[in-house]
Amino acid sequence: MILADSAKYDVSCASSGTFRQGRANTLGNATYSGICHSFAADGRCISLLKILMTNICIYDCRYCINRRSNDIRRTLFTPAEIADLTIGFYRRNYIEGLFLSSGIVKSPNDTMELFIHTLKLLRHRYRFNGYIHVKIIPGASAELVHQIGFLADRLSVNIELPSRQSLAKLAPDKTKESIIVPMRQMAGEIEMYKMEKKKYRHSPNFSPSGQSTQMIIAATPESDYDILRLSEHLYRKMNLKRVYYSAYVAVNHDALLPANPRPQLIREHRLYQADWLLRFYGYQSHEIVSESHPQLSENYDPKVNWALHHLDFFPIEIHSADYEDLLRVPGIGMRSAQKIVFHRRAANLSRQDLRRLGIVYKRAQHFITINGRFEGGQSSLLHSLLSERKIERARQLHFDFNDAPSAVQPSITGEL
Amino acid sequence: MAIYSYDGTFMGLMSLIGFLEDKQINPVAICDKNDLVTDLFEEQEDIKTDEKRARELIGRIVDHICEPAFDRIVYGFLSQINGFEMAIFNYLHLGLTAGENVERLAGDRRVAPLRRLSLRVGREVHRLKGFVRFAQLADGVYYAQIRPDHDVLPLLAPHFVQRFADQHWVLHDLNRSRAAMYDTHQCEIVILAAADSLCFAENESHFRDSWRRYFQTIAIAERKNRRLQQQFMPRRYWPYLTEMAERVR
Ligand code: SF4
Repeated sequence: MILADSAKYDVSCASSGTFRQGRANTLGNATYSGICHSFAADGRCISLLKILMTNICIYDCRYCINRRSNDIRRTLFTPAEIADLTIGFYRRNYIEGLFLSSGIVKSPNDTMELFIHTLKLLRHRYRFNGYIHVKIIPGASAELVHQIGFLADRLSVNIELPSRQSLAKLAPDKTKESIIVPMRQMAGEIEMYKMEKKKYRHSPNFSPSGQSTQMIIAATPESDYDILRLSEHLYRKMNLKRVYYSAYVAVNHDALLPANPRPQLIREHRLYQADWLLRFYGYQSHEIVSESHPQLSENYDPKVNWALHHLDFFPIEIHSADYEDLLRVPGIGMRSAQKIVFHRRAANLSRQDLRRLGIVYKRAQHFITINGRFEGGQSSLLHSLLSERKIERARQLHFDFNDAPSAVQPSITGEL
Repeated sequence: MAIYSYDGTFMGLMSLIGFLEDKQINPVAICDKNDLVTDLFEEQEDIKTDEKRARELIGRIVDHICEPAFDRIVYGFLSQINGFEMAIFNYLHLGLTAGENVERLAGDRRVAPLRRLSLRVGREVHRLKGFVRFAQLADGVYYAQIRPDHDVLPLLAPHFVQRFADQHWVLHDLNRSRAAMYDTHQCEIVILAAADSLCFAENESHFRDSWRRYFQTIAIAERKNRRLQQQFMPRRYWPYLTEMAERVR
């Protein structure tokens, strides 16, 4: 299946964020808590049928297997074929929905028309209510972007590379404008229709799960600082739901591309962790990386790294600290911080209670007090944190690591 | 002090616990009367199902504790793991006085056992929402087999009713010889023995093979990690997963 082969490098497995009830005589609903239907041999969740409509392409992006200058066999799915396969898979409970992307046939707009045709078949002929994510073609017209927004649950347009210069070098047919213009249009329309929906219940949904994007890491010289600042901008100014980072995998021999044999997975993993801090933990990008320290640490996750550089912020009292401050404690994840806030109202929490709530006590103890008592220590601190790297290795590919620190116990005890 | 038995149904258990609460009795054990073995040393008493009393108790749970507490009890019941009745009794006994705070006392020995049971059931339900695989039979019905650890049909069926509202389907629990059947109007749980052989729709193998091929191509070879795959998708589910079945045989 050639066409799945190219789509697999898209890392977005997210099918959550939409809630739609099933309706009589229609097929499908989009549930809230992303359901994984299977797990691929690399451990990633499979929830969507990812189809590359065609590997034909008029562009020549250097990093892409489907670029015009490659001599490969080209094929194309028709809209009817895609719709049939999606419905067949959905009815068998193989998938949550469809993720549709494509090389560019004839022109960006021609390709978009084929997408729209496919989605209309699914939504109108098959009355399919499940999740659909469409990757917009850079340079698509405003009218077509507008139309497809009413048919899809999520839209995305890939940033591809973290700077204009890199884009010009490696994706000569794409301009920054061809990406930013539709992105900005979608941000505006998503916002507008969301507000309409609040006022008028029957107003239509426009990409109700928002938009996301993806960029390739380590194919070009941008630092983590550049990357995270860009992500922060996308989250705060463009209201993006997710930025996906994809460690560059060499598929072409090209003088313009680095000849690194292995994808930089640890770096990608650290970026996801930092991204998580930006979105859910209330960190600003400049707290994580800076012009003088532009790269994320390989050894420590960015949250631990921040804590080590701000020891004066700690220890904090578990019974009185704000939720936001609890989140800054290594060993306390989002879920466990919520649980602390919930449970401390009814009972005085002991060390055992904290463990039971999913806190990695070995790590957290150096940053907290319990009823004023401090049980950590400086010398054991570093030791307990150093053991972390091993764990991280094992979890590299686990994408949903919001509570990763609490899910695994450190292997070294930390007592010296 | 005695062993109390009920008829094995949820309403039966609610009647029994309602009775015990009214009479302020602390039982030694609670048993399904179908599993009861005569015990020479303990007194035994069977309490008949009383819909009214059961409904009263459920009303008190929802009003005086909270709705999540009721869900927890239902999940605990469906776990059908040895001792679930006493776990429910202890939780309720505390809950009816402590109110919704009972949900905050995760570590309490009267609360922890039921929490553990309900979490296990919740996890299985969540997994199965993804792992159930339907195949179309010659008569057009979509049919799936599962062998769940817990009695999860009542929790899974509503999900698939929502999802496959326009399709006839049957979800068959082979461990319990029961099935949820849906005909686009209603869904019922019925007793159903395993069929000797199934006759599949013509295009079934087309979809099955496409899915298997898709599944194999989607993994990135450079990132292969079988251990992680197994951690998320435990082996015991494989026989019923279209994409993994071959590896088991
Ligand atoms: S436009 Fe997309 S498919 Fe075409 S070469 Fe560039 S990355 Fe590849």
